[in-house]
Amino acid sequence: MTAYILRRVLLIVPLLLLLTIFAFVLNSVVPGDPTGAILGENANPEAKRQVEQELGLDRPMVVRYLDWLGNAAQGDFGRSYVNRQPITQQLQDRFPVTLELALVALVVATLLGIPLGVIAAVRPGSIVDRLAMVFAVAGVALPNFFLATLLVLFFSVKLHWLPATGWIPFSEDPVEHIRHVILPAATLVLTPTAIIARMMRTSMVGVLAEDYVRTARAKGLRKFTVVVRHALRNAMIPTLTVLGLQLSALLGGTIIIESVFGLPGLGRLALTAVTGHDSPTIQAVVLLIGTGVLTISLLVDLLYAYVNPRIRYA
Amino acid sequence: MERDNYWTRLSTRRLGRRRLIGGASFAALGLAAAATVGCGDDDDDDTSDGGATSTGTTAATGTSAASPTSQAKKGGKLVVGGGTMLGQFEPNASTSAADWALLFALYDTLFVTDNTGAVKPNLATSYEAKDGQVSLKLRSDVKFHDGTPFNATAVKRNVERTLGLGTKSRVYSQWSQVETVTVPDETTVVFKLKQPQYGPIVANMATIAGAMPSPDAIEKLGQDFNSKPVGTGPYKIDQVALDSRITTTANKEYWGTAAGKGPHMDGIEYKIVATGAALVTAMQAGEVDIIHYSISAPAGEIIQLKAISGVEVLQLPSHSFTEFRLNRGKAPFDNADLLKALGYALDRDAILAGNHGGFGKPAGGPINPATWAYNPNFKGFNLPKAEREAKVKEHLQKGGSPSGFAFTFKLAGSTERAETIKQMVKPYGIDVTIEVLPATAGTQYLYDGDFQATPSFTPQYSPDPDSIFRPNFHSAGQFNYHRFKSDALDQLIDQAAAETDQAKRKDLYWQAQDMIFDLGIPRIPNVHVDILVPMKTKVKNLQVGWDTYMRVGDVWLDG
Repeated sequence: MTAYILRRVLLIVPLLLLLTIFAFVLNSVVPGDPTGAILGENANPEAKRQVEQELGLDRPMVVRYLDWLGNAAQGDFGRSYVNRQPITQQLQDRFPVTLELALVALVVATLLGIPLGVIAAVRPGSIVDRLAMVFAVAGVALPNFFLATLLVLFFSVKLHWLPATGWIPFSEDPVEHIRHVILPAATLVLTPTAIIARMMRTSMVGVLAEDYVRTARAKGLRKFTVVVRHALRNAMIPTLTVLGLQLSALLGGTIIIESVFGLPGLGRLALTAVTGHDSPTIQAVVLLIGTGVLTISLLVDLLYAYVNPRIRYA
Repeated sequence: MERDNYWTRLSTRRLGRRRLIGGASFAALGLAAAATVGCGDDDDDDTSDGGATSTGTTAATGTSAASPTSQAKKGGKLVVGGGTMLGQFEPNASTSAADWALLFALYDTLFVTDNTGAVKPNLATSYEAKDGQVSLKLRSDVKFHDGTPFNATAVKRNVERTLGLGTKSRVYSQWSQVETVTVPDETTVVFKLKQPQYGPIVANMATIAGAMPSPDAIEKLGQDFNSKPVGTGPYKIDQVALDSRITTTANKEYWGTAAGKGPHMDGIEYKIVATGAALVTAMQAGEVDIIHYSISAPAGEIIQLKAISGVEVLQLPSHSFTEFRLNRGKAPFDNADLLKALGYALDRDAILAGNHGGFGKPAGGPINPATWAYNPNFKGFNLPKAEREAKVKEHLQKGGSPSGFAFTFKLAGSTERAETIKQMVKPYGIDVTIEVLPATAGTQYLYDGDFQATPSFTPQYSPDPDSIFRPNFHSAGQFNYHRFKSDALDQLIDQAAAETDQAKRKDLYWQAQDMIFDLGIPRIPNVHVDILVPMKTKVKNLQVGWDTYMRVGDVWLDG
């Protein structure tokens, strides 16, 4: 197992390298440059040249990338081209916001999605199953910015129960912090809940048809015990994969929700960086999210072995 | 007062009689002050309302929810909602106009203006302009937030820093006429100019270019100054969380407090919300007191906001205009007649109604009706329909394309106005193709001359009309990428800048406007779009500058 983990960790390094190369090249070939964001859209070419020189943008792409890589390897992401703030500080400020949202959304989605899928699978074709699957389809189909708007209109504008925008750090005011998290997290919950429920149902229906489940029932075990203690564990494997994918998607895909609710997360940082051609910030965000996604993938693989002891890694 | 009637406040509260009278009084003050060009009051102890100097800018209109400062209630927090701030908080470098809403609370400028562009004393109590020099007398009772004194040396260090940054600073062009800065004593600073452009440079000192940060703090903090800005303004920085909120607290040692100026509130929170629908819902949910739109507010959002109880929309004339930028060095617009045919083909009332919700005025020429240099008799392209149609035919004929011509709009961003125009000019045989560039494309294609036409927006960089003519139409202008050149116009612009008599300056700008129109103006004006500031009725005494930015120093909250 240790050897397996080591191999996987070592594999992460070249993958991240490829990812950062891809992001760097992509950012370099997209029309425009950071001087527009730095100097304003009407800046003249002379000023742009000066800034390009100052930022080292007049050097070849390979040199710039290697330069960035050398510094990043030492934990120095430099300063943002646009606001000149240390990028490490910005990541420290922004990542917890996105991570908290993603984790809250995933935990709630798991707590809702798994029971929903199981209930639907236990009575396939029933009204409960049909309703659960209608919810699952609607959850995937409904764009989360639309849901966000509906939630804001109802809970913030009409009822004034919850704030529509903004973020209050937990350390500053825990109650206000929770109030500010509820709507964005609720918005993010829908899609993963629907996907988890659907996957759980499909997987559970298959497992419930297995011989060992029939045997367990024939032995006189209660249906609840059979489903929860015998079937659920086996049915969890594909769902675990989905959970990992959903967490990755949430980490990298909160841009819209962060924009709608005015949250200072990694998504908005990335958006501002991309529109400003702020290459060092983009690289740092890509590296951070990439590391997160690959780590999650590794953890999910390790969880397979925990959930199903028949799975062994060598 | 005809313009006062036009530029009224929308929705729940109309422009009050008191404010109209106040506006008229202020206009009278401005007119009186206009006669004192170069003869500023040099009493250091003067308050900003007394001993007003002027660059010759006058003509006031009501500007804000003015209430007597004596009635000001103390305390409370103002929440200003707005779009992204980039975190470039050093005004000497000041590369991001998106941040200026905050900067005007943190920094005082050497002079101040209201929406009319009339220049009044602030950190500088007076000025004298003669012999190629501008001398300022400064207040002696001002300290930066870090406790260091504001004085002539600080001004010199700031201006020299900007000059050192060169074109890397967005405000460099506003100081570039300064050759040397000398400090005869700690309350006097003298700018020797390369060319005698008195009016423009003094007006520039009332813009963000005239904002004074602490040179010691800049030196000490380096790039970190951007997250810990230090000025002399009524509010001090508290916390900076980009993409979330920036908070300020009242500067208890503010020099203006003794003169009854403020700060009246405990602090201001700048809530950074993505623009658009999120700002509207934030206002609907009661989470922001004011929305700041840095360019022009989308009409649809304003209509939604007007419907909210307890919210009013302050409507003021802006000093800018929407336009089409044309490449005069390339066909078809190297032909002045085809340019004019396009100019006359536009139905500006329809553009105003359809694209701007009626919030503005049709623009026949580049000089805004709010400025003192406005010529009410100049119609430019803005003629009645029948006359315009006749002019289109006449110029198509003269231009050698009686059945029309084709051109391409190249743009990055919204195609809305381009689409409107495309349909509007089609009946005249003018065929428009719209080429959309990626949003990240920037403006290099303009400088490269790789365009025929592009829809855009011309902001005025200072309250002086020079800032419309020089950067855009002077052959050495920073933004004259239209390949437009006229020695006669250059001469006229220079002459107007050197003149100190307002009446003569006005006449020169009228001539310049006529001349550029005849030559084929490379920016075809569409609409003078109004400044629109949605705010709660409890917000009192808000001043909105000619540049759309709020001056919150005197604001107080009624409840």
